[in-house]
Amino acid sequence: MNEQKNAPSLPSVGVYKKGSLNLLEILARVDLIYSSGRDGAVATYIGVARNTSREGKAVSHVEIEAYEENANLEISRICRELAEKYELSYVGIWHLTGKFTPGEPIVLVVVAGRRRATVLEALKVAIERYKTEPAIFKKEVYPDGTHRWVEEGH
Amino acid sequence: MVLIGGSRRDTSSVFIGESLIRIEVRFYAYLREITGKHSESIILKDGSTIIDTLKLVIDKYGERMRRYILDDEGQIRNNITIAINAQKIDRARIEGYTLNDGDVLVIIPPTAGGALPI
Repeated sequence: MNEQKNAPSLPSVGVYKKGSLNLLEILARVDLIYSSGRDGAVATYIGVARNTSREGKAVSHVEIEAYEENANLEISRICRELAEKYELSYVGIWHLTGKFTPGEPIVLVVVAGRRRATVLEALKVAIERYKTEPAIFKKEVYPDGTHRWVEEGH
Repeated sequence: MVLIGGSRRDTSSVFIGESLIRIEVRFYAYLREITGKHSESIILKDGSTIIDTLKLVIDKYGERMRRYILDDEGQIRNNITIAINAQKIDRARIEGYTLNDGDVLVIIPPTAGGALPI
């Protein structure tokens, strides 16, 4: 799935069930990407479960589900296309599914390349694209037990 | 443009003497709440299309399903995407897209980040 050549020890990009992949362990290993000295910038992003909705309503937990076959294809495509477009050495997106209480990490994005301007721009685009293109769905559950499938903005 | 309307169809029809295919339709997020199930096996006449399948699903699950998938003009909503075997189908290709035996059709609801780009 992960066709990028220079991070052989990192898990393939895509979606994983919570508990089957530790995002912070991946974060601790990003030196595998940049230790060659070729890259001048590495940017990372962690998407975290929040305790309020966009409207400010309290959220007790969120549930993430995915159409995994599609989500894996789309995430691989995003990483491949961005690496090519911005001439980056690595783009990785790992997205978890399952139930998350506020404060728990849900997604990790890592972008590495020669120059910070393109790395930061690519990180922004990667975040925008993973939120819209893979078939990944988020349900907010509120303290009163009601819920809502979120269709705009994490 | 994709238009869905017209008469209801019996989803349990038996097509005697016709070549049949079996497809799987999967439901995620709000659509799973409407159907109460994650997937459903549907038998169709050979040569059936995505639109034929959507008509069956809408007829079976009623007004909530119809309003979720279709707009007031009977067209597939802009934020609904159809995937066959994990590949999103471009909106222009949906009408007339013929299904094959074993296909997995997914009606993809809006994702967490908003409307899908197709």
